[in-house]
This record gives sequence, C-alpha cells and structure tokens, in this order.
Amino acid sequence: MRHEVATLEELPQRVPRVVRVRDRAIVLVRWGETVYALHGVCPHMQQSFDGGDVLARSAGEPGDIVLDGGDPVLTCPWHQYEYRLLDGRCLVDDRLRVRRYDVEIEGTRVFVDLATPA
Amino acid sequence: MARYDGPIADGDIHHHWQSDADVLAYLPEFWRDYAGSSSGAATLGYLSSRMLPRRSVVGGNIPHGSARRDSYPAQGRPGSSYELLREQVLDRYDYFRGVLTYNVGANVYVENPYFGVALSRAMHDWNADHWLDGRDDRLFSVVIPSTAIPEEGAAEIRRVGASERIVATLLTGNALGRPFGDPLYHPLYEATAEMGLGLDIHPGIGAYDTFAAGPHTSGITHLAAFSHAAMHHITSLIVNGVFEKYPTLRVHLKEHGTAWLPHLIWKLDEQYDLLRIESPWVRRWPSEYIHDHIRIGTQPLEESDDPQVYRRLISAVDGVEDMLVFTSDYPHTSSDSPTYVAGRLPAGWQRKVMCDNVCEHYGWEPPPAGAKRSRLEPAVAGDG
Amino acid sequence: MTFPADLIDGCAYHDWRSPLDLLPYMSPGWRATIERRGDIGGPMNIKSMRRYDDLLGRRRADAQGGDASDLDRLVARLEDGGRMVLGYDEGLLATAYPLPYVARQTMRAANDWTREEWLARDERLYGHVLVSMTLPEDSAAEIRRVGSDERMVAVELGMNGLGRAFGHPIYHPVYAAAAELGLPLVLQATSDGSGDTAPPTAFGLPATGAEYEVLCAQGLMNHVASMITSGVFDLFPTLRVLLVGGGAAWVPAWLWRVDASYRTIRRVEVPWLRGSPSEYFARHFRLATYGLESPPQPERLEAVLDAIPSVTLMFVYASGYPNRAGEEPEAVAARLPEAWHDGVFRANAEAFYRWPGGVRPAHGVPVATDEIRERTSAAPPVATRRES
Repeated sequence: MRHEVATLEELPQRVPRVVRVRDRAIVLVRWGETVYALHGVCPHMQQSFDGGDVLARSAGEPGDIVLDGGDPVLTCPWHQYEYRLLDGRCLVDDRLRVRRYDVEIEGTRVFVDLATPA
Repeated sequence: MARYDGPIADGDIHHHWQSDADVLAYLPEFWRDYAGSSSGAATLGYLSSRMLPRRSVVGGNIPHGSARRDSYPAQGRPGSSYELLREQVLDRYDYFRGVLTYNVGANVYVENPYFGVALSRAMHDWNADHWLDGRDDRLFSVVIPSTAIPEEGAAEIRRVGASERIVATLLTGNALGRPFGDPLYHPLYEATAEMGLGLDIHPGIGAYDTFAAGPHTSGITHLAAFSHAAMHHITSLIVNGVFEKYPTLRVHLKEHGTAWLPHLIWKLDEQYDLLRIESPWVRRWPSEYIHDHIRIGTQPLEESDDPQVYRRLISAVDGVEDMLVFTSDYPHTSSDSPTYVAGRLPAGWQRKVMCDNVCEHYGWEPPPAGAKRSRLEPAVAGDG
Repeated sequence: MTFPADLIDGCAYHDWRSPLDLLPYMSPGWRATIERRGDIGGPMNIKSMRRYDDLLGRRRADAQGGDASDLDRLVARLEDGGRMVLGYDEGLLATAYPLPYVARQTMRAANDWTREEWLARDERLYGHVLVSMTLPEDSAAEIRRVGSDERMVAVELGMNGLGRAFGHPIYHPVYAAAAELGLPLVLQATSDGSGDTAPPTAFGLPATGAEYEVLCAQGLMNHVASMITSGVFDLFPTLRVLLVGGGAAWVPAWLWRVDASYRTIRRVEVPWLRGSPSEYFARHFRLATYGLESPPQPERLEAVLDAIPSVTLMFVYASGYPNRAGEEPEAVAARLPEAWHDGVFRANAEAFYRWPGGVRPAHGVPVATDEIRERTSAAPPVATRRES
C-alpha cells in the first residue's frame, strides 16, 4: 500500500519532516542517499518529532566518543529520547519503539508503504 | 484508567523575558550600567556575565538550552512568549490556573548581594507590567527575594506580596550556603507568613548550591541530586522549628521529584529521640509536620516501567495524596505533560493532585467537585 | 525464625583502641613519631574528626568503651559455621587524614594488624583491604600487596578526602587493582562524613547529628551515579560494590531519576554506557541491611524495596555491630519478605565476596557493543504509550 508522501526536494538532509498520511503521522528523514520513515509521534509523552535532531549515533569507550554515521538517530524535541532510524527502537529505553515504514524512491518521488509489517 | 478530565492547576511554569533590555530598563541607572552588556551569558538566560552564578551548571549540558525545542519563539527565549504558552499549555490543557516562576529566578544569587537586591526589584516590576497586567486571569506569580540579605528580602516580600496576583515567595538558591531552616533566613518566613503567601522552593544553580561528595562528574548526577536539596531543606525546616515559629507557613518544593518521600519520612521519624534531644522545640513527629506543612511538586515524576510500581511506592506512607501538587516545569526539557502525570497517579488521587492541593497551597477557591475541563487536549502534542 | 548456622554477617566493625595498637606494624621511624613516648598529649592523632557527634552514643548501650576492639565479643556472636566480615567504622576516619604519608602508613599498618590480630585468631573472620582514596596509586599497590591473602574478601574504599565523587578517573588505579585481584568493593555511608572530606549533604551542612543521620546517604548516591556514568563498570566489568550504612528506600527514586536524566543526556555525556544506569546498578551494586529504613508499619517497606531491580539478589545482612544503629538478624528479617531471607542472610553475601577457594559467579558480565543493536528479547510493541 504505497503512498506518495514527498519529493526529495522537500526533504533537506537531516531535517525531520512530519506528514499526515491517512489517519497517521509519519516522520520522514533524509540521511545521505536514504530516506527513512517512522511513526511521527514519540510514545513517551506524545510529542511530534517535528523539530527533532537527526544525528549519527554516538558511542565509544569511557572518555572517548565515536560517531557511527551508519546508524543514525532521530531525537524527540521534548525529552531528547533517541530513536534509531534503521528500526525505530529507542536507544535509551528498551521498551519503546516506533513503527518503521519501507520507503521507495522513484526519481525524486518518495513513497511510503503503509503495510510494512510492524 | 480513564483519562483525567477535571481541572488542572500548575504550580511551576518558567516564564522569561524576551530580551535583557526588558528587565534592565527597570534597574536604577547605576545598576543598569553595572550590569554591562549581554555576553555568552545570554544563552543561559542571564542578563549579563556579571549576573552568572559562578559555578558550572553541569545540568546545562542538556541539548537546546534545557528547553523543549518547540518552546522557542521566533524572537526571545523559551518561556518568553505568552502566545506559545497559551498554545502549548494554558489553552491546550484548558488550565484553571498557573504560577509563573521565572527561569528559574537564580538571577538574584549573584556575588554582589546589593546587585541581587536591585535585580530582584527590577524583575518584579517587569513581571507586574508584562505578565500580571490583567492579560490572563489564569496567571499568577511569585516574589523572589534576595536570600543574601534576608532583611532586604523580607522587605521585598512585603512590597511585592501585597499584589493579589502574587501567591508565593520563591527561593531558588542558597545565597549564604546554609540549608533553608537556618535562622538566618527566618525573616523571609516571617514576611511570607505575614503576607499569607506560600513558600516555594526550587533547586538553585548558584555558587552555594553545592552537593554531597564534591562537584559532579556528570549532569546526570546533578539533576538527580536536586532531590537531595529537598530532603535537606525539609529536614532543616523541621529541625530548626520553623513550623513551630510560623505555624501557618506552607512549603512547596518543586522540581525535586517525589519518590524519595517514604525514605525521608521514615528516616526522620526514626531519629525522633535524637531530634528531641538536640532540638527540643521539635514537638511533633516529623511525619506530622511534613503532612501538614510540606507539599511536593510532581515534576519530574519518576517513571517506573510498570506504573503500578510507582503507585505502590508513593502510597507506602499514608496521606501523600494530600501532599503532591501538579507542576509541569514548562518549557524545560524535563517537563511533564499533565495527561501523563494524571495517568500515573494512584487511582482516586487525580483531582487532588492536579488541582485541589495546588489551590489549597496558593489560597485559591477550587472549581466545584465534578467540574470538567471544557475540552480534552488532542492526543498528540503539536497537533492543533 | 531461627537462622542457619552458616549465616554470614556481611559487615561488623573492628577498630583499634588507640594508635599504639598499630605501632608494631609500622617502621621504627613512624613508630616512634606516632607513639610520642613521654609526650603529655599521648600518641599522635592519626584520624580525622567526625563532623557530628551522636548524643545518644554511636555504640550500642551494651557495647560502649572499646567493644569494637574486643575480638572475643565479636566472635561470640558467631555460630560454628558462620562467617563475619570485618569492616571499619572509626578506623575509616584515618583514611582521609590530611597528612598523606601518615594516612598511607596507617593504611598499611591497619591491614597487617587485621590479618595478624583478627583473621589469624579465628578462621570465621574475614577482612577488607582498607585503602585511602586520597592516595590512589599507593592504594593500588596496597591492594596488590595484601589482596591475595585469601581471608581478605573485599576492598574497603576510604573516605572522600580529595572531594571528588568516586567515579572520577583519578580513582581508577584502585579499581584496576581490585579487579585484577578479583576483589569487590565496599563503600560506607560515612564516606563524606568527616571534617576532612567533601560535604555529606547538598546545599550546606546540617546543624545537628540527627540531620546527618537522616541525610547521610546523599554522598553514597552521588558516588553510585558517578561510578556508573564515568564508565567504571565498562572499564572493569567484573567489579561490584556493596553499599553499607545508607539504607535502601532511596534506591528506586534515585535510579528512576538517574535513568530519566540518562535518557535525555546520554548522547552528550555518556555514550559509552551499554544500557541504562539502573541496569548497571542491578549488575554491579549490592545493599547491606545496616541502615535499612524502619517504617512504623514494617510491611510498607516492601512496597518501596520491590521497585529495586533484582531485589532478591540485592540485600546482604550486615549487623553493623557494635553500633547503636546495628541490628540483629531477627529485627531485619521481620521487615523483609521471607522469600528473600536465604539471599539476605547467606546466599547474596556468598555471591558477593571473594571467598577462599570459591568459584566467583559471573557478576558484572559486560554487554558487548553489538548487543545494543541486537537486543531482542522480543521486539517491544510499536508506539507503546508510556501513560498508564
């Protein structure tokens, strides 16, 4: 069940863009050549992801910080919870996850598959 | 649990000025010149570097200046926009009342105590003109006295506290390095009780707002250790006989959390024998003083994985349903949504905590029993 | 209830009567200097002063006047199969004594004195390697010097004389040595309680001893958070820490708040953590019952303690003998669920300390970096509402 949701021009790098599709809010994030699509609301206190930060995941050893650009995260603009764009899991709370959707890009048109298994 | 649909009163909304000039204009010329220009201090909301409390605000590592990203207006700082406050809080949740508490008022705890006194006056005059000018009947506010010169602070409480829009004295820092029960501060409590105001306490970030075990090695510890301030102030107020001296005084400690309350109450009552030897003016059980005089703001509400675990813990001491008062801490990062808080409280506590206890502390007549908010907020914050 | 003959007392206190007791274990030069024979003031002082006096007496009424120095009184409390681990109460005051070389000398002498005059005299007694946190490198050397004595079952961290919470890298040599020797750590609630340490409380000092007793866990809480956030348990994944004297009802509030702050600040401050702080606490910390809160309705305590992660593995009975605040096993058992009792009075201490000849259980198993990607005990449901 693909829906066209945006064009690439409408999706600047690393800026979350929340769109409404049918009955749901979906946040689109462009990271390099990839566009990710996640449920658009943080399940903590129901804040929209609009205005959140998009960052390489930070990790490392004590005292040393390493950034992993292959594992980007979206933060909630309220309490700064981090969600992996790859699978929607919350990095800082094991029990939270937002649904992710498959994305197809044709030319500059961006489609989201609402039937992606949860 | 059914969603809470009753009235909401919020004991902690951090309002702010849009630009430093707005407040500096209220200073006498000498102090205006002394204040100097805004520098990097501006991002922390202080009027100038000369007004910074002189220690690292480790909790300030929170991204986006410790505020919700969407609380930044096009111009000015989080909390400076009345329109955003209405949209995101007052109208969104159909508030009954809210208390404006500055951000966080620690401006007065500067090294120069005379400057602190002048700043305090300027802030209050600015507040009266810019927020308490009748624009919104729901909004009330506080007086932040200097604690560096308690007699001056008491005078300011009497001056500003006469306004019907001022409902509490707010202490946000410990300018003399003593916990708040210390007799040094009693002039402030005398004035507060005389004016019929509540006594509110918010964690401070000043030079003397120090912590156990030395400077923090992380902001995580710093924020969690706000609870230590509450535990110390409550203990100190009891031990120094403040509630015997000022029996009408009611104290509200906000942004210190709640779940340490059983621990503190049990520890205090355990020490009753020793307390009575060292402080014979302590006549009652500490738990009795706490139940009658101490109110605890709900924010930041502790988040157990299973909501029932928190409910059981906070019910472990009887009477806590009379003691909690709803606070949002808008617009800070660690603020709570009223919907979330109401949903996490033990069954049957909602109307008291979300409204009636707040009203009782600030001296308001609450809405009638069974009153409902005119509309419930949309599920998603950020939806219209 | 009756208690098993193999009950373990995870911490009772032994102390020297006077500095003279330690002289045999010092070099001749230090011996003479501290003894000050013929000096009208007596031996030199080697301890800091407590900040607050306990007007009801720090010791039990029936144990006044030196009973922590009386081995016979202590071992009289033991059954044949019992074990007692000796910690320091008064003696801890020597660890942050501001003259660093005196503190160093005392530390070494205390450890030798413990081994010769206590552990050697009753095989049911075990000891802590006492270290001075004002001298991390000397302490590491001391752990290596005496820590392989199989009757030394832990390292007792000295008081906070440097005025920094115990996660700070300056202390890491102590942890490295302890981990190398397979020794767990013991942290007393009095860590910030002398005139030569950081303050024990936030926002000023209390006026009275009663206030200090109420608030004294504040230092412990900060040390716990500091150790976790500084990555001590990522650097030394087999380390574990027993908290003694601070009670336990504060733990849920502390962990919930530390976790909440972690969720907000992780990426900026502690990206090396491989899980939440409360997960680290469950793996690496244990709680002694000495100082356990005592509600007027004892059954209420469980409502609070139940919120502690891995709670059945958490508690270690510690008599705190001969302190007034110490408790007999019966008093502790009366307010903890019976299902926890075997853990509290034996099994958890068995698992915590490095006993002779035992196989150390896998505490503090490190979480591999990749696990953060693959953590899949069932994926949680999507868009979980965290409201009720």
